Amino acid sequence: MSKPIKLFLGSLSVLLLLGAALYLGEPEADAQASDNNPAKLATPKPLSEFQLMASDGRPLNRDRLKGKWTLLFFGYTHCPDVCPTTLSELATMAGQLTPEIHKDTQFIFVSVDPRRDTPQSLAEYVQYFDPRFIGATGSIEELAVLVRQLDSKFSLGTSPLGEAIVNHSSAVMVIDPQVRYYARLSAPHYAEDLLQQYLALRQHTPGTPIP
Amino acid sequence: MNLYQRLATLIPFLLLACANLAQATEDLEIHDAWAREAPPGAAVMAGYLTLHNHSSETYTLTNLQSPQFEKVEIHRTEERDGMTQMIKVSQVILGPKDSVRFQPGGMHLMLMKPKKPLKAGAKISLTLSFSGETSMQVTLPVKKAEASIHHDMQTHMH
Ligand SMILES: [Cu+2]
Repeated sequence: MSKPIKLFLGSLSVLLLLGAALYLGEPEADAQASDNNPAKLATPKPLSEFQLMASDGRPLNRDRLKGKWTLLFFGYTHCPDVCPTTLSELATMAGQLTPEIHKDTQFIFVSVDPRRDTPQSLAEYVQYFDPRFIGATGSIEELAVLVRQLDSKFSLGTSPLGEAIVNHSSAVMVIDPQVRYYARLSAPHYAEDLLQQYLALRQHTPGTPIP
Repeated sequence: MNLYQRLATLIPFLLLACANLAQATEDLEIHDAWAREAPPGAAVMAGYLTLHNHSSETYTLTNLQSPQFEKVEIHRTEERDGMTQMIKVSQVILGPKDSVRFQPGGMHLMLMKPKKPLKAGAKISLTLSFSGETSMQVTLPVKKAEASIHHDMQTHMH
């Protein structure tokens, strides 16, 4: 029963991909080659609704991503190495953005450790790196809704000594102003590279003329 | 046994300990040691350093201790199964003329549960113990962040 449906969906997605390739045509290939940006998704993926609670007491959902570029990183506050390293690199990068670009860019740190982190504790944590950073978290189920859509992962466990173990994707996710998962910047993260990659991504947005 | 006799029995051990310490300081060298200031709410800090073995002996780092922390471990940040995770490392073997770098996103000193919060400017004293009763003292200055160490290092190497 399910087999024919799967086959049908399979051929449908092939058709859609072909359609997209035909529609984008040559300029897209040129842009890809010239900016040589492997971080960018071939086809941006629209995000469906999700619901987390942000560190400023307001919900974090699709609506809040509309009209801005978002750089999002998954982690947890008890992470001493990768998370503070990435957040300080992101803060350095944020400081190098022009005011116009900064105005339509938001930085979001999503904690995948709801056992220990709360929107309130995240407020102080993210602001330590940059007062404009936003923290957010939710239940495991709520987190999974967003994590899955961004092709990311996290896992929670406990060591034999009773210490919490949190594993998470380390890429910085880029979401475009149309709330589409747009690019994935892989670790390790360095401010200069993040800045260059981000500016290149913005420049090569379809519809934006390449200078 | 009177006090002098007792002290006399200790002498060989004291000499041995001194010899080990002197040898270790000559053979092993630590630099670029620092610890990242813990952001608010975090009960763990990461420490970094580079350890050189100038000798033709092998040294095995087996234990770390600091009076300012409840526990100090060696961890390695690793990418496994599409996720970043910290793996506990039980010992670090330093072969002849070898060096090991503890750095952000790699191997790090996991400084757990500080007895008092340590802010930028504070100093952490750490004892590194190697197999064969060799030990070394190091001071890690606490810093807010060391952005883009990777790029700095590249410039130094040119
Ligand atoms: Cu660690």
